[in-house]
Amino acid sequence: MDNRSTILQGTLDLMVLKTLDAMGPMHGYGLARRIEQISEDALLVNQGTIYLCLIRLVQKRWISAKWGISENNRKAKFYAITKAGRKQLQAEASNWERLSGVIGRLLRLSPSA
Amino acid sequence: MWTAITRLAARFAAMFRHRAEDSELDQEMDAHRSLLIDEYMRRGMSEDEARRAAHLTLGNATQLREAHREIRGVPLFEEVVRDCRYALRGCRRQPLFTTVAVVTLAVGIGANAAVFSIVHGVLMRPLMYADPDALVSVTRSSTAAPGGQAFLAQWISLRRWELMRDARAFEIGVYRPSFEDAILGGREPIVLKAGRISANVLGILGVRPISGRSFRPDDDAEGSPPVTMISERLWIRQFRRDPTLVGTTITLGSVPRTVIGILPADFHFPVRDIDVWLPQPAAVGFIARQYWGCCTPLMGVARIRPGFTRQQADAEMTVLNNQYEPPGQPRVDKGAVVLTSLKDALVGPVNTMLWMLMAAVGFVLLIACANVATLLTARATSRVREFAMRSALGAKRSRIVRQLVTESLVLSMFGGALGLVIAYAGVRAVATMTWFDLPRAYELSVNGTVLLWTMAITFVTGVVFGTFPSLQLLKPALIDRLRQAGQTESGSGRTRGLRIGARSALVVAQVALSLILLIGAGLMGQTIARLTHVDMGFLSAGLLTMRVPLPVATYDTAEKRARFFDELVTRVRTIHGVRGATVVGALPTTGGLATNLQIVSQRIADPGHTQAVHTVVPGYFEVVGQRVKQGRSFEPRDNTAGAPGVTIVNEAFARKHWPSYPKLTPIGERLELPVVSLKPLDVVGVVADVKHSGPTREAEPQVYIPDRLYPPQIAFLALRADGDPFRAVDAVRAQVRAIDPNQSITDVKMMDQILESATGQQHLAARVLGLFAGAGVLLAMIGLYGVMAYSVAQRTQEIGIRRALGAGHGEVLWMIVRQGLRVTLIGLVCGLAGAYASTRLLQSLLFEVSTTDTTTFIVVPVLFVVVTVLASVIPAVRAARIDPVGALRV
Repeated sequence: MDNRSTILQGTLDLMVLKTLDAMGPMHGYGLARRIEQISEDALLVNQGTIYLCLIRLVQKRWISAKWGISENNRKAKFYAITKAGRKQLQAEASNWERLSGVIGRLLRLSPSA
Repeated sequence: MWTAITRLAARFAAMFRHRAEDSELDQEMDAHRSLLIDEYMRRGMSEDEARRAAHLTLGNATQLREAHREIRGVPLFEEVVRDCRYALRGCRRQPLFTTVAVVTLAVGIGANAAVFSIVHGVLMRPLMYADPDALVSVTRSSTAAPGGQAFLAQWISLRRWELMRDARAFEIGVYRPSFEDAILGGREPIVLKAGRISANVLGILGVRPISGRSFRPDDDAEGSPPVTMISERLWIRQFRRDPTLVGTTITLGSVPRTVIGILPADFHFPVRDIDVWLPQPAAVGFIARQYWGCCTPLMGVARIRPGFTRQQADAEMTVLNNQYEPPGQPRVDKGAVVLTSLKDALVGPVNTMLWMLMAAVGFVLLIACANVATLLTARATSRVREFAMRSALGAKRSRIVRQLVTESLVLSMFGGALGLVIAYAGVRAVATMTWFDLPRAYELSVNGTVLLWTMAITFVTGVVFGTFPSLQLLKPALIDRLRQAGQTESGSGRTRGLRIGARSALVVAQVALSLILLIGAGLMGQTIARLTHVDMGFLSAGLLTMRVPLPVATYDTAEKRARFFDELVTRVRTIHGVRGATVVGALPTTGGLATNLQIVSQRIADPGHTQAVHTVVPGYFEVVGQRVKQGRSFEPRDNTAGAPGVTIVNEAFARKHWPSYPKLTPIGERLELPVVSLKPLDVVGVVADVKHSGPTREAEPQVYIPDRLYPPQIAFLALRADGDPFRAVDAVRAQVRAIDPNQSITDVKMMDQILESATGQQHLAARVLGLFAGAGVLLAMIGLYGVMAYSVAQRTQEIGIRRALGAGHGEVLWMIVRQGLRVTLIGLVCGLAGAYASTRLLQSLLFEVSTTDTTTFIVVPVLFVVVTVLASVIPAVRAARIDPVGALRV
């Protein structure tokens, strides 16, 4: 895995956790749609990719999966954030804020200053 | 960290439910797809368009499933598991190949693990005592002139011990180098092995009793209440773990002794399997204080005191040596006393032999590896098509190598597992052997280190001989191979001139290594043959021996002991079938007594001159078959009270003191032997030399006296009988009891067994080397046969053409045998060079055989050639039978 995808992967993890935290249990389709809307297609090569992220998060016990019924009456897996996932989200979020603050200040510096 | 572990566990768990997970993913994707289609149709697409768009949005389902598997499982591990399964299936498909390979490896690895456990357990592991590096053995340096017998050269006197007791840099304890017999009283008296140690020995070694107390300094004092410590083994065997035993009294050698403590079962000191320990080393040997400086019954063990270095201890030792032996006043135990690391002193004598065995066993493993590599290469070559196909289908080269190595690793694992069984059996055999007293043998076990070693060599073996065929296989591009695979590779595996194929090189190595082993075994075999044919100076065959110990407490006077032995010999001679019986203080090779010596007529200048003395009951020379050369033998009258003191010497003694013997005779001369007789003794006869220090040493001067003069406390009964002499043993025991119900006998052995253990190292080396050489030759033959058979199969077409062109059976037969011979001869030349360079490892073990013994170096290779021809005859006959028409049609 190259650096770019590692960074993207971390970002994707964070977005999934945040979305589940904010919107409650969702299935893969819903999550994919939501992330596409927010990231303007920058993160998902195609919607299937979301499942690679989901299985990783499930194995890390940050989210849990449960079978349920979708809007169109199909059997679908619903994902929900766990306690460990929330803790991870908090840690990652503050990390991101600090980092984006630093990067933001760096980019705002004018060349003459 | 925790998350990583959870994830790894989840991944391994997922491996076992790939199918279920796949179908769950499929269901999820189905749901996802239907939601997408619904969405697209809502936006106004037709159902077909929506379905296609959904496919595009979702991505390639197969790729996704693969990626999903990779993320949730452990792909590398799964691949390895798959390779292993494939390898196992391959093993099952070719049971003969698998069996040969596994057994070969098991022999190589097992022999290696067994010898390693011995080398590790005996030579490498620290002694089992506390802080073993500070322990030293205290002996006279071996450069001191041997006082009559070699074993006496190292021991020290009681007086010397007295002097060293006050040393500042080390604390010395002393012990009797072997064991004493102690009769445990009871309804059926049994003879126990007693270790005689000074009270501080246990403290010096750091050994604590498992129950009761240890010896205290006052237990050594003269007149202190008699005590004993017993071994856990005896406690279990004889007292059934009686918890109340400590504090009670047992009778040892007619002396009631309080059992003060029990020592752990794994404590073997000074020799193995001691049952009881007694303090008061000065009380032993029945040595009156005035003789403390005249005899050397002790060995010393010391611990360097904390804060002192070994150098300081050595320096103090030098000072003590000078104090003990002022210039011009040599003592009986003359020469410097030196400190040696206790471990070196213990295992030094077997060091060379064990490393030699380790080298030999390394050769066996190399032969086994080469052999399996040969077999695997042959097999891999026949699988060229399979690998070419896989490579064409996109398998990477590394992937194919990995699979080949996995296959060989699977084989070596089986070999290793079976090898451990062999190692276990081998170690048990060595630990329990009775004909050679290997130091620390009782400590041997297949322990963790041995397991690690076995695993390591198993792994290395598997990788080494697994890589070999892959290198062979992958040299030319596989695609070329695929093109060629339709044809047989005629001639590629055969030798032309000196150019040797890789397979043949392996056989050359095998032949060379097994030749080295075989020559080593040949030299040892000759040594054993010479040893068994050494003229010991008496007739050992058919002589049955046993030990008769008399307790000091009840047999305290010379008269009592002499009367007992007289009566014993008289009674035993009446036993039905017994042709002759005698009693002697020490049998050949079992030690003896030494004392100062003076010859009345010539005054030996050296006042410290010592002489080995043997006390015998008249009739001894006749029973053991030692010839009288001059004068007369002992007669019954010599053994009666008040008879004039007489002695008989051997020829070595006569030659030493009367250099012109036999012209000048010692008969009529008088000897002063202060310990055994107050009056000088008349020499009445000269007997033939007996090799008292074993068959490998020259006979030393010996003096024999009738046992009345100095009857031993412990004596040997030797007898000859018609038929099986062991049948007389029960009758002898009954006669012993009839004389004294508290007496018994022990250590019933044939004289030949005693002699064999005197050269136990040679016997061990010969047996093990013989075993290894046999295995090596067998493996080399299998390897040669494999290569020949394979080559014949490869050359079927060529041979067919030759046959069609008119080559006869004989010519084809010779062509194949010649090919085998050529490989063997190259191997033999290499092997001879190797043997010439390496047999000097055996130097110290050989007897009357040179390390480059010409006969061995000629006979062994010739034998090898014969065996080679045999190994290549079967493939050659097969080649000669090739039907030219059939072969060409293939």
